[in-house]
Amino acid sequence: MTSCIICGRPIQEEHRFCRYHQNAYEELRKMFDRWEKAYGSMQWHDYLEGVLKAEGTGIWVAEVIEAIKKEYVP
Amino acid sequence: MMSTDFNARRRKLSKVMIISEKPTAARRIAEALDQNGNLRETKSKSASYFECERNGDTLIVAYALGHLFELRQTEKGWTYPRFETEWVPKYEVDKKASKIEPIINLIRKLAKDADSFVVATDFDIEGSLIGYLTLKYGCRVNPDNAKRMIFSTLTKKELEHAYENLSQQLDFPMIEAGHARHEIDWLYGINLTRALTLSVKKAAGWFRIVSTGRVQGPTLAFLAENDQKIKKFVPIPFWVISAKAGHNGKELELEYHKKRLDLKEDAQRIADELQGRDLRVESILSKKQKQTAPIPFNLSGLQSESYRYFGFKPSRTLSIAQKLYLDALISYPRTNSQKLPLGIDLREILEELRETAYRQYAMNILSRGIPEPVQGPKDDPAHPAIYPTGKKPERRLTPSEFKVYDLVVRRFLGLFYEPSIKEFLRANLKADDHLFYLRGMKIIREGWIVVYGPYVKNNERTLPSIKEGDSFKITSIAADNRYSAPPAHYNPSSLLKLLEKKGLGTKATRASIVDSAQSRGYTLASSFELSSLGYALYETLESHVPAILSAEFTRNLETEMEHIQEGTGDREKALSLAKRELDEILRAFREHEDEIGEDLVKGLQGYWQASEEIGPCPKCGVGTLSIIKSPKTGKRFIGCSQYKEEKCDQTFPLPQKGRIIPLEKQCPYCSHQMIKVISSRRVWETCINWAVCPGRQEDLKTLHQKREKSSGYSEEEEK
Ligand SMILES: [Zn+2]
Repeated sequence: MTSCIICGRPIQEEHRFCRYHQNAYEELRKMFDRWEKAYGSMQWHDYLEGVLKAEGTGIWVAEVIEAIKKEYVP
Repeated sequence: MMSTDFNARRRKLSKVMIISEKPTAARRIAEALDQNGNLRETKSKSASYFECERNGDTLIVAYALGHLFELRQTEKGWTYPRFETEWVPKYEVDKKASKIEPIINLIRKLAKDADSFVVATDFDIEGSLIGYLTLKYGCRVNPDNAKRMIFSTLTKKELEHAYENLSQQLDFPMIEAGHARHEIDWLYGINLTRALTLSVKKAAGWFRIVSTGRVQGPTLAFLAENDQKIKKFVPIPFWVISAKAGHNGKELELEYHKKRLDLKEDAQRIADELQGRDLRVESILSKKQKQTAPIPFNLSGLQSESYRYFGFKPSRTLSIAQKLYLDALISYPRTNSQKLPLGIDLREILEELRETAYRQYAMNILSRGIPEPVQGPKDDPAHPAIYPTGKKPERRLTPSEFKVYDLVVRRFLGLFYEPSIKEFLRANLKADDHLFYLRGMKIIREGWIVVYGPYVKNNERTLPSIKEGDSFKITSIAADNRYSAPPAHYNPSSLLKLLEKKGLGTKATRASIVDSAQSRGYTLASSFELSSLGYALYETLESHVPAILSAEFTRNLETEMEHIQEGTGDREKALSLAKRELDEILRAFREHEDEIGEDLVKGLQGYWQASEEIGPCPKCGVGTLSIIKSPKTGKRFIGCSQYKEEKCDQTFPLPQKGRIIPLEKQCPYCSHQMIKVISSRRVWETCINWAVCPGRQEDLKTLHQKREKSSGYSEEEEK
């Protein structure tokens, strides 16, 4: 695969998405700690749902979450 | 005897030609300087000039129409690089500037009889350049011998004073600065836009103007960076304690002393612990705060306040302010200054305002002996801060004009008022270690708010009558989940402020740069969210010629141009620096032309699909064709984006059914753009000019015949 599954832009080396969606993905991973701490404990899956529902979530982040969710669902 | 005397006097008469920037200004100047009550307007074709007498001289007041002359490349060819330019009448490079030809002809004719010349255009870099170029290429006289009228309002008094105290020389540093800015911005705009446009043409064969410029590039980068922050934003949860308490039968909203709690557990515990508890008023604190009146307006101050209260775009505020200036109601608006210098006759202005709806405020200030007005920090050597002249409007102002006018007058009057004093009250309510606040605010002395009140948010809140030791019962309490907010999109006002902070552009150009990001389709129409086209351009430039996007890169040039205006710089030096740097960019561009073109084509395709754009307009070459639905008939057709501005009336009929997809090719018969039409019946290709295209008339005829035979397929469908 050479283009981002979300937007079709070229993907960055060794990454899953284009630079924008990759950035959003990294931001998403980085913020998991903050959420986990805020809620006391948290599962990755619940985290994704939480971010998706939260007000102010960036469109690229939401698109990344949708893409990840598709991968998990058989 | 009579006639010799007349002739003797006549010989002494001198003809002074005064050059103003606009017809309205010319009339005001002539009216102000006329001593004999004998003002004449003489028309010649669609131009005119004003004539009057003063001090025994005949004054001929002619006008420009903004710039009469424009730069043109000396070498032929719509290509790049093009670095050498000459000044030519504007109508030679801009077909829309046809009004300018009679004006230049008239000026040329009038100049032949004139004995001396006075420039009375706006006193700023653009106005100074207009005056200079009009003398040099319109009047064809040596600008070194011309004199300058300098004024900040178009009132009779100031204009007479400016004329009686002429500056003996033109403001050459300003002219040079204007000249340099004009040339450098031309070089960047023309060459970069051509480079982009030609790369698209080479890659796909379309001619679609893709424009950028020296300041537009960095502006696009600011927009893109902010847009990315918003789109990759992950909000962080936090909690707030929402609590209410009863007091004397009323329910009061309480504020917990910690504004936000980062852990859900903490927030929940607090809410649980305090359920139904009693709070005791432990203390009531009061703090008085003095606030001086807001400082005088410069242009950006006026623009941002006008956006805040009326939602006017900066460009709209500027054009309204300009009209008010031409009506002699306010001083020159394109100023950086936040100061009212000593030279301004404040008493006279206030006495005039006493005769208007602002009477009570003006009287109050006069009765206090006109206290020192509040001043701001910024200064401008050419003009003071924006202030009202005090004159009564001679015509009925439009509602928008009145809004801006009222803002300027009230801001001005407020400067002479005392500071306001507000008292902030805070009651501390406690239960164990938990502290709640109840807040109140009272205006103790209005001061300047008396007059500027309509433009101040009133956040006065009364604190209920309580005293220390009173007890409150918490009636409801909960830990509410909130999220941190993403950065905001720019709005016209915040983007303008950013350009100002970064030192890009001038007070005269920034407002239109802000507008152009939207009008060129780089951002969505309703906000400053970057469009797919904006991203395509940003990404392409970033990967191949990042210098175009760099604010740092162009700041050197800004500094260089500032030096010229201060009289310490050199135009030729700045120009050669600009050419050298531009040349490097264009070389890099040439090297990557193919990739740039391909990337942009992809971006354009995505953009057109999303926005129903078809492609560039073949008639005006400026607008973009897109699919439009007639609001009257509901029928769709292709129209040009310049239609709204009444600049292009090109339309093409469309089949009423089926999906339209613009194709990357041109009609072999008429070279109009081709489209694909996908309807449930069939898929076919045609050109947008199909109704009259010489190559398609046979097909149309056959289609007609087919239709006549088959019922249920009306001709209407294809019109
Ligand atoms: Zn992507």
